[in-house]
Amino acid sequence: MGFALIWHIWWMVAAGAIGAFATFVVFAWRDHDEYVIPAAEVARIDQVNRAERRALMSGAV
Amino acid sequence: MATVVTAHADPHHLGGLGAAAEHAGPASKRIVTGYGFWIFLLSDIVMFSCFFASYAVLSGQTAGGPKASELFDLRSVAAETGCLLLSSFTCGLATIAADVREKTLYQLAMALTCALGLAFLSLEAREFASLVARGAGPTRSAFLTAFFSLVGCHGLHVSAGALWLLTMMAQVTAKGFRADIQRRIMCFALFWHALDIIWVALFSVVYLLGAGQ
Repeated sequence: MGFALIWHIWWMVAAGAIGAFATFVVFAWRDHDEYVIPAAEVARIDQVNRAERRALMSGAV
Repeated sequence: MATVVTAHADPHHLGGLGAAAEHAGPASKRIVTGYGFWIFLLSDIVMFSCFFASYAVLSGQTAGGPKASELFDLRSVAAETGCLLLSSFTCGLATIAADVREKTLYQLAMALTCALGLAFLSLEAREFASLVARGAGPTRSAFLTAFFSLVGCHGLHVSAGALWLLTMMAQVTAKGFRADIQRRIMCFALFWHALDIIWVALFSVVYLLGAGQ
């Protein structure tokens, strides 16, 4: 939209403005806009990651 | 022995700040959202202050064209100011109505706020159109470029605010006074009042000081 404004492409300005507002409304109408990752799940993923790295390091040496 | 126990219970020597120590953990979402929105508003105000600074520097650079005192119709500006200040009042009413979950009063106050905002915008559009018709468009002089940028930027903010306002009316209709909707209403109210504050500065710096030049 900024590009269109600078170069006076008015149809693109209209499309950009409508698109921006539509995006705003779609995001505003979500009912679940966040989720929680439990600490145990984070710990599990981290354990797997560390184990894989350790395996990689011991294999390379 | 007692002093040792106290030292352990108060590792950061907060002493009298017992109340603050009790509020461990993150602040409520309402506080965090409000704080974040204030940071946005402050960045907006920083941008406006740049426009104000350039207007202040360029307000005398008329390039032989019309001066501020020859252009501005203070009666129309007074009407614009009245609309915007009243709309801030009705916006406050809408906030109170949302706090006590009065749907009808909320929608009524928001509709009034929107009507006053649109009245402001139409007065401003008429002023801009008459300036351009009199050959005092933004291309006439550096003064007029700065004027249209500063006042137009505020007008664009009010237009975006009106769109946001209508969205908030629809959101309350569709979803009711949910906690996240209440937070958005609070942010909208902050935005609308901030625009009013900017208009007061604009009115004083551009129109009142300009009329004296």
